Amino acid sequence: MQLKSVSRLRRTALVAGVAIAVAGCGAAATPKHHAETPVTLGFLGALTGARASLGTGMELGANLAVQNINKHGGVLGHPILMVAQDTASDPADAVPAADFEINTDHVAAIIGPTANTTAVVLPLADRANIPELMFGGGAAFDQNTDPHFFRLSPSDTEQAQAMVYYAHSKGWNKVALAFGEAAASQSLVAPVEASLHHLHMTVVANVSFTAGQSSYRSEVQQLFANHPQVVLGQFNNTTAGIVFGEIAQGGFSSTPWIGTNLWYSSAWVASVGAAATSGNVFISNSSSTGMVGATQFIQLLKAKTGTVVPPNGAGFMYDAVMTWALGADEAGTWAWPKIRAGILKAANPPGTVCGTYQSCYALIKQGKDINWDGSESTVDFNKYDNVFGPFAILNYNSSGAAATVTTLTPQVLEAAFAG
Amino acid sequence: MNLLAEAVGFGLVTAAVIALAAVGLSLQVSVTNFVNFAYGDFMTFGAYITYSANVAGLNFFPAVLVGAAGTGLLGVVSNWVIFRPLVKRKSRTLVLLICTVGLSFIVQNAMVLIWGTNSDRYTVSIGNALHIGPFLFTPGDLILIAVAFGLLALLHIFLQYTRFGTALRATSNNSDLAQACGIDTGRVITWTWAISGLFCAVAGVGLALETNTLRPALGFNELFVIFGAIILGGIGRVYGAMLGALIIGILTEVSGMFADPAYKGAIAFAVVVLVLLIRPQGLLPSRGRSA
Amino acid sequence: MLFFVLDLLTLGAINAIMAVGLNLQYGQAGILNFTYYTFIAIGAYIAAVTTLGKPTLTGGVEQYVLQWRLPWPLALLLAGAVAGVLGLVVVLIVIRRLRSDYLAIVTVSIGFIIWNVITNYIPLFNGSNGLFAVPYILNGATVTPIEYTLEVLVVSVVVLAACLWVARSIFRSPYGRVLRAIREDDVVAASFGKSTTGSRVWVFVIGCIMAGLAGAMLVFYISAWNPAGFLPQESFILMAAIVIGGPGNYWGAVLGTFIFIELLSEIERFLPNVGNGAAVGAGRAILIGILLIAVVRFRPDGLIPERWLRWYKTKGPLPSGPASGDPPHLVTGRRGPHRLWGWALSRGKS
Repeated sequence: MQLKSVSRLRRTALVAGVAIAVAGCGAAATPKHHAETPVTLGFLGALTGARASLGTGMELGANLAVQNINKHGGVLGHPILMVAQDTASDPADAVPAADFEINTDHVAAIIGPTANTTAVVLPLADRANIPELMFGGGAAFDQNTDPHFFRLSPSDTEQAQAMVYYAHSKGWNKVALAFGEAAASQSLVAPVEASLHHLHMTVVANVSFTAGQSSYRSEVQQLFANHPQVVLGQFNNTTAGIVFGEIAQGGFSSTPWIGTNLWYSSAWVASVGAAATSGNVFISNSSSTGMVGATQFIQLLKAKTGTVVPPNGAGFMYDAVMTWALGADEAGTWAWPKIRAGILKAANPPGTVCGTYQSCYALIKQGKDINWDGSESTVDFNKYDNVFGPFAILNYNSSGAAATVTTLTPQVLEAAFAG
Repeated sequence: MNLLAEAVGFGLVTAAVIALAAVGLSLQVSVTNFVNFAYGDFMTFGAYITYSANVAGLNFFPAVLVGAAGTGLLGVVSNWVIFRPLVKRKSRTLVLLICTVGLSFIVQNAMVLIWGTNSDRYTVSIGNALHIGPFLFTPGDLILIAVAFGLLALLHIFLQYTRFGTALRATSNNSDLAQACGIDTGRVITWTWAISGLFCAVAGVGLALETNTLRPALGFNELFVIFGAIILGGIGRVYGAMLGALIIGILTEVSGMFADPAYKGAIAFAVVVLVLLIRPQGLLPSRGRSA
Repeated sequence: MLFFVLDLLTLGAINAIMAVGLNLQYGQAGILNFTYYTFIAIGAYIAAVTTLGKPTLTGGVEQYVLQWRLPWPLALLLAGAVAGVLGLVVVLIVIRRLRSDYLAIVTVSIGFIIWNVITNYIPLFNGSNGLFAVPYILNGATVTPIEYTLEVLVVSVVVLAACLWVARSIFRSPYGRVLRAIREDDVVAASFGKSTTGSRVWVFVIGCIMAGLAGAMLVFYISAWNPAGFLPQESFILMAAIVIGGPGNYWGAVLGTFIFIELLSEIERFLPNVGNGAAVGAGRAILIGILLIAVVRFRPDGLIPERWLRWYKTKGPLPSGPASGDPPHLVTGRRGPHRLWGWALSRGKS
């Protein structure tokens, strides 16, 4: 059996030229602004276990941001040291991991984790008085009032609306639902059903796809038994590999799918095979590829990995680190509560739109207001500290690359689902 | 009704894979008298060796032979290094079982180190489904079912009509008596591991083909379904294992028609437990020892 | 660093409770329970749903069956009780006439059924999302994390001490000797008129109660629980740690789990980044696998063998009469002279 590394972590001394000798200086509470004293950020994500591909993608994105920031002068002149700990997607593992970062590494902020582990990490961030910049759709945080919480990815509610809206706009009104049993998928079902109901669309099948099975043929047959015009779904990559293989065998490849941003990744394409994704799988991705911050992110990604399709979560965690760093630059400190005001000021309008660390930092130094736009969204927080942003509907071609079909703005979605 | 027939057909395909695996395991258990928790990982190992041989340029079917030989070798070596010394010391069944758990840790995680945690896939695919009567099969499914039938028939002939098969059955019935009769039980056990590994590898390749994925936990996740089949069929009964596989395979797929498919794995296990409550010795009783 | 050590000790103490319970089942009664972690999970869930109030987060993500807001000591006891009752049901299903190794397989199947239902049936324990924001015990909401860790450590050590006392009493009682006799050879034990099934049922249930208590302490400490926390491998690793440590005696088991579950994984926190999180976990699992086989092969009683064995090795052959000391545990895998059984069982009858 694969160990998921019960508490399990490792420390990523990732910044070139930075020693690990930072623990114990209480960086969060009292930033010491001696030049070159590193500031420590704590990354949390599932690095082992069932969701390992998600965590490694998130860590990659965060690392890209850290390296980029350090290359361009650091945060207020301090290089960032990022320590990484593994949550294994399990609250029982996330708590010791977060505790370790907070109490031993004295991190200035927590980058990550995902929705079901955020529920346990957030109270710890509250006690330590540090911000937590997370990734995950959980509708539980839609009306968040915790000031330490920032969500860089759209809520499941918004994701559900985008998926349903696109199906509706194409005239696909007979819908089948295919969601996995994992936390992230389970919490999407309710908002999807509500959105479908709102637009008077028909659900002809609702089949759950439990991970770890060796065959989903019965499920696939049930899914297509009543001839849906479209399938909305999300399940993990391994399940997707099996299911799309069986769809092809069953001759159901012509029915379009609308998936979520979890399916916008190189690992997903590798699992499913480029041929299977070709043409009929639409991804409702929370960003449009034209985001201002995306250019630099994709450049960095390509330099590091050679690919231009980011793994799951990479863009969001890149945005998280950048948002925190620019917030600290704006506030002149990373101490609470000024950091909160700094983050909101740097990320939200008004201000000059900028998408790279060097340009944003330069504007701040000139005393100008900025409106940082990230790689996955415009990083504009609403009053619940949730990012809401445009959704791009993407379509994979036969070589596994994705092209934008259309973009749905928050205003369009809001109008469609008002009331 | 149509869906039901299709589900039965899918159950047959699942059963073919499980039957190959269960027969291999049952053969080993009947001779060595302990269950092997690393068996699922042996399946994955066979599938990966086949994959690597295929990627290295070998055609698919010869690659399967390489995978089968590799897995047979893994079984034989495991027996020599780990199990034979313990059996000589007359270790308890539970101790041997715990060793197989340790072996499972090692084999599965070695595969993580060698092939990584991401999914791989064979370049060959099982093709698209054809309607055959009320059933829905792909050409690959049909080949798989044929291969399973062929191998099981070969095994039957081997066990019933060859000298070595007789020796194997004798060892399985009563190892001490067999030895007293001049049968080299050590050699029989070695060959049993090899044959078991062969079946296991073919089952692993079939599983990887059917699921369209190849990953280190592939076989381990299937292990308890296989155990369910051999327990249902009666412990150490090779033909019982085939029957158990058929029941579990069809049950799993058909139960998905009547209940939320999310529970289909649980339903299959629940039936195994229920059967055991009524018939602890399995559907076909095991010969000889029942302790 | 202080926090890190405290955290390690607290998790170590909770793991030790698990080890004592599992060791009762395996080391004393010879029942291989490969789904022990399921009972820990049940304890955690029961402790969580009985102490939680209404969901704290909006959005309808959380669903609870109870919302009783019980005081934590009551929840702790309930957790143990429910795990015990479930253990009774499970053991009654599996113990009837099943060979010990098939019994082990069936425990895994039952564990899978329970896991599958909890994951998919959301109204029970909130499905995959699990339960979170479980209230801190004592004055945990107001103190610093370090102080809270210390408090949980103290409570855990108290629970651990109680479990150790129970395990010790069973070990030393006539009942314990019967159990070990059954473990070594149930046919012989039965031939002395001992009910093999009844004795094992009760020791299994006591082991499950301890699992429930450990689960409750774990959820009080970490404040959340979901199905990712009790995948089958957790039970396998726990079992491996106990076999390596020495299953005949609870100190070996406790030390085994501490080293192989806590220390080994916590040390990983200090490892430099090797670029691949999965590789570290895989390396550790391979290490545990090799150690497991090596220990079974070369040191069958574990790193710390059962007490009698050490005594036997230093003092020579068995005393002729029931003068002192614990009854013999025969070296795993070697059948001892049967007169030992007569001795042990005659003691058992007194």
